[in-house]
Amino acid sequence: MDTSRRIRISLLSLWLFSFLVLGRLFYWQILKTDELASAAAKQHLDVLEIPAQRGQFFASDNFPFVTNQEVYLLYVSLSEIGKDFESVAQELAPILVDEQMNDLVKTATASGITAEEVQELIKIKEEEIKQQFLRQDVSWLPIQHKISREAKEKIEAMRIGGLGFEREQKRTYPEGTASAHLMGFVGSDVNGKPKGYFGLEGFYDLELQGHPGYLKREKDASGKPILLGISQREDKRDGRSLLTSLDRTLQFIVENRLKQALAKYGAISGSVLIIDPGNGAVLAMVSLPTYDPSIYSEFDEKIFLNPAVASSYEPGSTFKVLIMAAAVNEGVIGPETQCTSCGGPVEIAGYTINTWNNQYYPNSTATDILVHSDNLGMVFVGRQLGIKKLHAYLKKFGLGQLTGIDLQEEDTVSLRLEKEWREIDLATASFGQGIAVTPIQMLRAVSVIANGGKLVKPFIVKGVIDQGKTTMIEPEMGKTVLKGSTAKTLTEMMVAAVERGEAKWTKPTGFLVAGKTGTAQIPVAGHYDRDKTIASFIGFAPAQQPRFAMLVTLREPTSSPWGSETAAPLWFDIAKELFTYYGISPTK
Amino acid sequence: MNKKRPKKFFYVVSIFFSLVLFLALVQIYVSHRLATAGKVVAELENEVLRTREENQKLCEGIDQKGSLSVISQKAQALGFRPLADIVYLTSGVSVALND
Repeated sequence: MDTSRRIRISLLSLWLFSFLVLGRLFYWQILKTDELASAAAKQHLDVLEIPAQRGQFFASDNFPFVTNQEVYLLYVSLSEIGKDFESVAQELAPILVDEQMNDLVKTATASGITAEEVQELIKIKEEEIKQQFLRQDVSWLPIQHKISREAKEKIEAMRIGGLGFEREQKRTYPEGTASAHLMGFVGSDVNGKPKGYFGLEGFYDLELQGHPGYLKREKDASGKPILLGISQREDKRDGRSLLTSLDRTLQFIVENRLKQALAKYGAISGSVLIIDPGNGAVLAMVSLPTYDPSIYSEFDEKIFLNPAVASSYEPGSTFKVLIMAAAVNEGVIGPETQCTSCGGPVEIAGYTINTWNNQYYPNSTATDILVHSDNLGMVFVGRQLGIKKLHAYLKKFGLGQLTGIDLQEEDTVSLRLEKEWREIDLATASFGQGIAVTPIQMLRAVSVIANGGKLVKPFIVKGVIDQGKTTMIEPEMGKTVLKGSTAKTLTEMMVAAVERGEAKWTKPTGFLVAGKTGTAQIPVAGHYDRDKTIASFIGFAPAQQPRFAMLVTLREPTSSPWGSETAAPLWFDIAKELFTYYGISPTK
Repeated sequence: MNKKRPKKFFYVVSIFFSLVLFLALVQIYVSHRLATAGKVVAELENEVLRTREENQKLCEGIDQKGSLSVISQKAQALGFRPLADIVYLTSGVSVALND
């Protein structure tokens, strides 16, 4: 081989080598730059998320209704777990099953579980964990969410390499489940982030969420922070907390009384709503049966809807006070106006209308019509009013429209258009049949009588707490529906209905209460079922200067179908406790 | 003149090396302090976390013990009973009567 050839080969080799070096450099510096930069950053940069706390709910006395508890996500780094994963699974399984048992205890399903069944559950869990450890497609796996501090401490004490914890939050309910329908619950959205559903959690979800912060800083080989290194910090912003108008003492009283009443009267469900009729502040709202929001997934989703705002019912005789108020306000009748068609059953469009007890009171006055809860008397009043005015007043009382209460699931049935009303609709609506309302709509409408004629907007949140500063929300007062004199007259008529009506036996002596009983048959497949009723009582007290307006509804009571024998005694039982609580003395 | 030059040169070089030595020592000292401070910061952060967890635990305890159902159960255990009948004193009723 001659010299020039050797030189050429050497040069070519050098060029080739240089090209390979350049190619490799291009690969590392250009193509792999992001990957390497991120690997380097991972080695010397620590990025910590500072989780934001979800806002809490406070009762009117600032005691928390819903608060946060710190819990943990247990995860495993599969590359670090080692070959002895079977014994790790064996050690973890009893602790994790124990955590699940705590939830089962809440649903009362744990009471029937035997020791053998618990062992079986542990075996299943152990197998589940082993299968997770064998996965090849991931390097990091969550094992169990929301485990308690105690369980975390137990697992930490085992000193198992490859296991780690991340902080999470769990909602807790110090006052139990009585307010579940009001509060709603926190589940997950499609991305697995916490999201509020139903009640206040759903309505105020964005306000409650907050924004997490982060801390990015350099660390040394042992993971300790380097003080003079890069450091970036974005502070978290906790979610806003809500100060509610709810009185937890009232919630407690109402829950206990309602529980007792459901058992005593054999009703399948019931609701009690109490509001301040002066401004619409909700003081208590309990519906039973309820659910436990901390383990909401164990319940049928139908139970999540708050019946007080999302379920419509036929109000029956409680509705008579609204029709009477409209007629008095329009001046078509007065409290002493006599009924000229109350002597016997009335035929309208082929339908016969009777009184509820087949007793007839010819020439009874408007006040007596309420006292006797006389359907024929109300047909007379309705006819005096006419379809046009009656329909206009239903709208003025806010029926067929959302009340605007701050609960996510509020729903309403629309009012039929005026032109669709027939004579029979006018007649039946006059005594509360053939028309559907939600309990909150009904109570809001009756509050118009209690507060002198104004339609209020019911609300639960009266203030928003942001970074320790409370901003109060002014209640919204609606339009004037009734004249002050009409409200006064109707109050007197409702007082008479309590003093002399069917529920007089249960009324506490000495207190002036304005109220009305109601018994509505439940429409089933196009007809009314005589045996199934919704018993209710609506009223406010003290009648002269109301401190509260309350609606009690009991669905399908079996001890008696009548509101005067079921809902009314419950109303007065609660009212007696409220008189003591508010320091209201008898007036006579 | 020529004899003085090496002396000055030696003087400058010794100052330079002294400075380098001093700065090296300062760097060692600062590095040492920083390494120790990082450890202290990490310890303080852990302490903050522990205190925060402890605080959270206490808050949860307060919330639980302050709930009305718990208070009610404790009151019942102590022998308190709900009011059965309340007598309201009005102006027409004598509070104390002489025999």
